[in-house]
Amino acid sequence: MPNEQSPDWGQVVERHAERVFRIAFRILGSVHDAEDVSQVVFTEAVKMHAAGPVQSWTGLFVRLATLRAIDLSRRRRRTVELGEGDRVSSVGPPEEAVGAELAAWLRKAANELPEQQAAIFSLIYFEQLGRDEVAAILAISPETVSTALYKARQRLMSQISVFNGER
Amino acid sequence: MSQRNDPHSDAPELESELQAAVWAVLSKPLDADAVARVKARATNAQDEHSRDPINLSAQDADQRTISSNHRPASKYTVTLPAPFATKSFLAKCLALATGIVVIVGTAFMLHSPESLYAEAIDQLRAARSFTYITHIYTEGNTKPSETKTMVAEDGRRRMELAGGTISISDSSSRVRLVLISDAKRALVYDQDIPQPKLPKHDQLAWLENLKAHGDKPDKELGTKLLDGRSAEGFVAKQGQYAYTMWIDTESKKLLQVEHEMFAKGTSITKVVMTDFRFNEPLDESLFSFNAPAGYTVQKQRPTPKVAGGEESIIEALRGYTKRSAGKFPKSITEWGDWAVLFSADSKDGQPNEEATKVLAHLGSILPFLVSRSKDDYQYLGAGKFLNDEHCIVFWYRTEGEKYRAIYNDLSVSDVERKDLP
Repeated sequence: MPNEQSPDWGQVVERHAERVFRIAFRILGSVHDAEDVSQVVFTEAVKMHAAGPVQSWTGLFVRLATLRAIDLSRRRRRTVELGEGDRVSSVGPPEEAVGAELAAWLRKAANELPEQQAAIFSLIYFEQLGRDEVAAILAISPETVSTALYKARQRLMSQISVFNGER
Repeated sequence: MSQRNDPHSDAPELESELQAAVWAVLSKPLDADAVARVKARATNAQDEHSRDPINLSAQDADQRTISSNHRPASKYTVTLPAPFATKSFLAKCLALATGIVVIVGTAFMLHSPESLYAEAIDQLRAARSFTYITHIYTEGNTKPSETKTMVAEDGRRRMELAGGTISISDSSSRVRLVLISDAKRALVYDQDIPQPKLPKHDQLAWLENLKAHGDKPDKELGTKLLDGRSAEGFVAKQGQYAYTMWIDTESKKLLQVEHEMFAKGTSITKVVMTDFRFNEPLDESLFSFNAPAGYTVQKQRPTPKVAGGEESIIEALRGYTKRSAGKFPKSITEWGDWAVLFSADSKDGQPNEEATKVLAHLGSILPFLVSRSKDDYQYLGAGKFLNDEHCIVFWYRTEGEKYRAIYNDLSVSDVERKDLP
């Protein structure tokens, strides 16, 4: 029975592709960009697979997808834009437009956090992982996760306040 | 620091505005086709690597840790989150704009110079029930968002949006039911409470205008291939609206209608309608105002009547600046700022009565602007404050060379063209 360290590559892809895409998509908001990041992630991963056993594919893919997506977002230096996954019609129900704008704002604000805070916030709230899981994935202590998360929340809340002109 | 009721997470609860934003991110379903493409390319990645093997250096080996600051990952078991389940707060977020019903008219006049054109027009005129898909293109994005619209013979309408939200309107274009599929939540708008009559510019106004107008286009564009089919193009204008139509030269069916966004200050660049289907049977259940089984029903506060026009612009700005320490919004046609600001007023997923009224005023602005040429109005409030030196935040042309201006103190007066910024 294949173990997680040395599975068939096809099995690896089948098991992890959706998660990789999902993580990237939640961070970037763009299907196109999420596909690009997924490609990068799997290209890196296949090298590692060729080089020898990987201790945790899940941890590897979650970490790679998160960090590569944040990297791409920073390189793009977008202003508050909507990913094509967010764009909705202003002629349709306004609730949809409201949600889309909120999503775009949060992606931009979260991706402008320090890298560790951005990664932790995304994994906790977008990927809905637990503190200990995130700590293991990023190879940091759970306390560090809690501290970084607190700082991320404080910073995002202050940005909302600025956004609302409540300075 | 409170805990979420999630066995897989011990993350603190977020403040309401932030939580709303998180659920807005989570509400977007994954593109299954994109996932399939990722799998295909990832599978091929190994083949490509095999053809061009890379001898890993020690440096490459270190890349397994992703960052030199991270220790090598230790083996652990991750309990994967269940396929994400949205929560009722999604509905709260999406329900923030209760009371806003924005219908943008797309007046559409077609002229039929020849039999090809005439047959397409006749098909539209004879349409009782019909469906089509609207593709909305926005700045910076090549892929549009898509909405499927179905119209029953009696005028009831169903719109299925890209994010999984479905809205059903009655024959008077009043929204009666909004279904949020991911959250299994139904927002119900009371039928018994008189609703304000919607502005004249309805999404389907183009059809009515078509029926009432003549049969010659303003311009012929010649023939091209459209989705593999030979199509002839025409431009039809009505006032400030211009529509480009493409008709299948063989089947003589309408293939595509395209127009730009008819209001300034939005990110929408182009609207394209395709996949027209006329008089095909449409299941009655598609237009039911009753929530489907399994949905949580939330009754919505009725849409208050608002004056529309200049008064609504002033009241919307008044409501916004009241909450923003006097700062004007970036736009009166893009609702992002408004959503964040008014989310603080929500309770049980609905804004309070006063906020609902403000949002109703906001919703009436777009139809007012769409009815005008883009050259006949300008919003200038971005970055301005109530207590700034007296300045114009919005102006519009009324008739002839007469203009009206709204100032940063929300007063209004007649002005002359030369006085406009």
